[in-house]
Amino acid sequence: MTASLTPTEHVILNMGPQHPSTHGVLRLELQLEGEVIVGCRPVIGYLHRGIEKIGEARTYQQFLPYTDRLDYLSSASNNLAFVQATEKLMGVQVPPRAQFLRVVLLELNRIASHLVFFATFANDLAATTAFLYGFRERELIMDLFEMWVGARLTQSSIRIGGVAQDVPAGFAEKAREFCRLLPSRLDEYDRLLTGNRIFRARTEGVGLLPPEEGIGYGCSGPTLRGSGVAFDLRRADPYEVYDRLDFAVVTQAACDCMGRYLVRMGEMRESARIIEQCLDQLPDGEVMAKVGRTIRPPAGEAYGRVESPRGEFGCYLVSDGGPHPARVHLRAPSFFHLCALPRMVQGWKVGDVVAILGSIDIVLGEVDR
Amino acid sequence: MPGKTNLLADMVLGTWSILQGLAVTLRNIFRPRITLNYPAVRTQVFPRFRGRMVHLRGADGRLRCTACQACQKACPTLAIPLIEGDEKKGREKRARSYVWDSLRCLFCGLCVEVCPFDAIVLGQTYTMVTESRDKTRLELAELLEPEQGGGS
Amino acid sequence: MNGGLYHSLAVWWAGHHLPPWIFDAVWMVAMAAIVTVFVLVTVLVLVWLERKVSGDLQNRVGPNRVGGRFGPLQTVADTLKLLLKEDLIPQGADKAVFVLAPYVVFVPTLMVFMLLPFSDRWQVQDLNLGVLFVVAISALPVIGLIMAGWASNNKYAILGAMRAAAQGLSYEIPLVLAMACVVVEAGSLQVGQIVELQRGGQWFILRFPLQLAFLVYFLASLAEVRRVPFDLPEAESELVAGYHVEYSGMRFAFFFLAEFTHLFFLGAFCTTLFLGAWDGPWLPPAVWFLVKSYAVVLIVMWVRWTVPRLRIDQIMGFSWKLLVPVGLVSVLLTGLMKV
Repeated sequence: MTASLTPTEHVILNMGPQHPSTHGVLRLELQLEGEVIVGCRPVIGYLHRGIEKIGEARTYQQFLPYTDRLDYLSSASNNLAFVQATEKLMGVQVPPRAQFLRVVLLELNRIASHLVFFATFANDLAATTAFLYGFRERELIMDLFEMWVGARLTQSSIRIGGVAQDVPAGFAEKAREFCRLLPSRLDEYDRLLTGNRIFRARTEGVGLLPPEEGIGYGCSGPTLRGSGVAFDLRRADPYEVYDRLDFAVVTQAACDCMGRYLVRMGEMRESARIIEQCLDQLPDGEVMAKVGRTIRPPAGEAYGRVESPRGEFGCYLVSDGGPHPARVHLRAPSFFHLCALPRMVQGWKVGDVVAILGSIDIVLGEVDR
Repeated sequence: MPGKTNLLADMVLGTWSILQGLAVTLRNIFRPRITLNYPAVRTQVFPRFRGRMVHLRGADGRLRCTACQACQKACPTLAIPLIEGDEKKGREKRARSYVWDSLRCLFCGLCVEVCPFDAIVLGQTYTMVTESRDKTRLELAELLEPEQGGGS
Repeated sequence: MNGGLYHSLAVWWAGHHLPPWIFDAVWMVAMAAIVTVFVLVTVLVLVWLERKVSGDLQNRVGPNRVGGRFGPLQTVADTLKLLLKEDLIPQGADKAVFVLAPYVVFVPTLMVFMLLPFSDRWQVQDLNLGVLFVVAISALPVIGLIMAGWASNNKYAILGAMRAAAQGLSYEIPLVLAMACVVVEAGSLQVGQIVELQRGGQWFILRFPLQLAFLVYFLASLAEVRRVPFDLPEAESELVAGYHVEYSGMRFAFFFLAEFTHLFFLGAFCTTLFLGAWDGPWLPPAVWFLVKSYAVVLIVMWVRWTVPRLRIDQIMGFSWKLLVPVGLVSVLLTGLMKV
């Protein structure tokens, strides 16, 4: 065999930080043997802004807008994780109206984030029109945010003690209208993309993540639920009013890109149902508890965790009794999914990296902080 | 190897799925366009939109800001670098200079919430285009109520 | 042109007792110029059409500023911009091959235009080996792709070029098989004859086994033009840079020009083989030809903006495992129907 006489090397292919499909500034060093990937090394840090360190030099209220910018596609989840940790330390009781409003905000963020997932996943696979349809629907959610909070993306509306502003008149009507419209649009996406033979050929059976390995890597959210593990923090460790709401935990047993994709599409429908329930059950009352001007939680540590659209987003807070946090550590789900990526792309072809990376839906803002 | 009927079924169903997708895109041709012909047509933002900072006037026509510096202390990013008041004391004091750094500002609204006199809001202007960095720090004279609403 | 104009002009020229080859040379240059101008204008229109059609499918507007409300001169503006760009040739590139490659891709695509029957009187040359000529010349641009990839002195360019070449060669087979069906049905390789047999509404697509051949031809042509869902060699720029990564400015524009020229040729030749070319009631034949060609092009664009793309091994599998057997079956059926 000539193979033993001919020295061969693996080709190192750099899927560099500037790339249309890496969902942020991520560098993937791929080791290729011909067409097949034998190694993958993610290189991160291109979006590192030192947010955790900044947290040690800001007051608790001042740090809140910084948390928006972590997983910027669903800023309310980041807000809530930090606020939850602070409220645990301080023992604050959030008024019921605020709790329902928080859930509405969170679920709207979830739909918006999953629409971006749908759009960018389709775009990576060259279905450009689906990309624009996803963003078209997302504009309706952005309008809802702007109407309520004043900002489209980085809301910083979930504050320590409640919600910064109550919903304006006309909001409930508009939100219900959106929730009515969404399922028909999702059906359209299914006809356009989900059942499409080419899309299925690119995603079915690709990028397998066995459930034990997923749990071992610390995956959560749709990445894990796409492997059949029905772990959802809203059921496993309910916060706000999730224990009073009726929704299904969407799971797929397939462990492939299609499974993860279907989980997110199903979650959008469930979120619309949750929003409608919250608007129906919305009690009257205050939207903010009495927490005082300066926030000084007693010394101690607390961990706030939220089911963000990407998985378990956590905030570990250490307080020394002063006005600034002593330490803020943010547990980003995308970081753990990125750790699982080399395992998922092993043995697949170069063209599949884009599909697999899209299906785990990472946001570099939270990976790098 | 899949049986012959499976291959045929796969071909037929596959073709049908692609035709369904084509029907979806075809139907969208007849939906209205969602792009606006900017700058001829501009988005009307909602009332609570957090845009460029605006200093408000009281009933007596004077600006309400008393240079108490509460907003400066509340800001997470030090986006209000300079506040100077005149020589009066107490409630009669008024701000003489006020600088807002539009590049550092996060538009979070903490300054608005903390102001005891409701002197500032984040307004509706979303175009703050300048040609040089010096012009991104706005003085008090540039932070007044815009003549027309929306845009710049 | 196989028409009276050539003969009458030739007779006029012969009356001046000058060598006939001068007349032939001038005639050929004039024909080439006319066809080239037509192709350039068509490409301008096609690029604008692509952007407008994609805008319509995506609830957007598309170009709407340059040259009026519908932006018809947008492509002109873009071409001017490309002309003004810096001409970069990478260090270590094989200069002669690098410069020559875009032309090797473009010129054969242009050459086959001489067979298109724009109307019953307008066809530059009706070769008696027409379809065979198209097949032979259409295979030449693949050489240009390999030249571009090799000369770029770039690992990824050559990978992309190899993939593009593999795809191009693989889809030649079903393309030829589909054309063979038409040839069997018409009994001749001559384009004029093929069109003649479709006069009066008896288009080949309406005859039984040729619907299959039409589908095979359409899909194989999509892959030859490297359009979605078969555009991985180009959109390799997603993952690995494609074969024309090192090209900028006007050289890149030539690749682009070649792609759209080939796209129009896809539509036009499809019309010629299956849709009766210029045949049709009360509109002038040339108008019918253009209408039908553009209809096919619009369908290609519609498909491009709807479906995702296939991976390279799926593309190869589709050709060898699906299109080639179907092509063979359709040739068999066509032959049986003729017996």
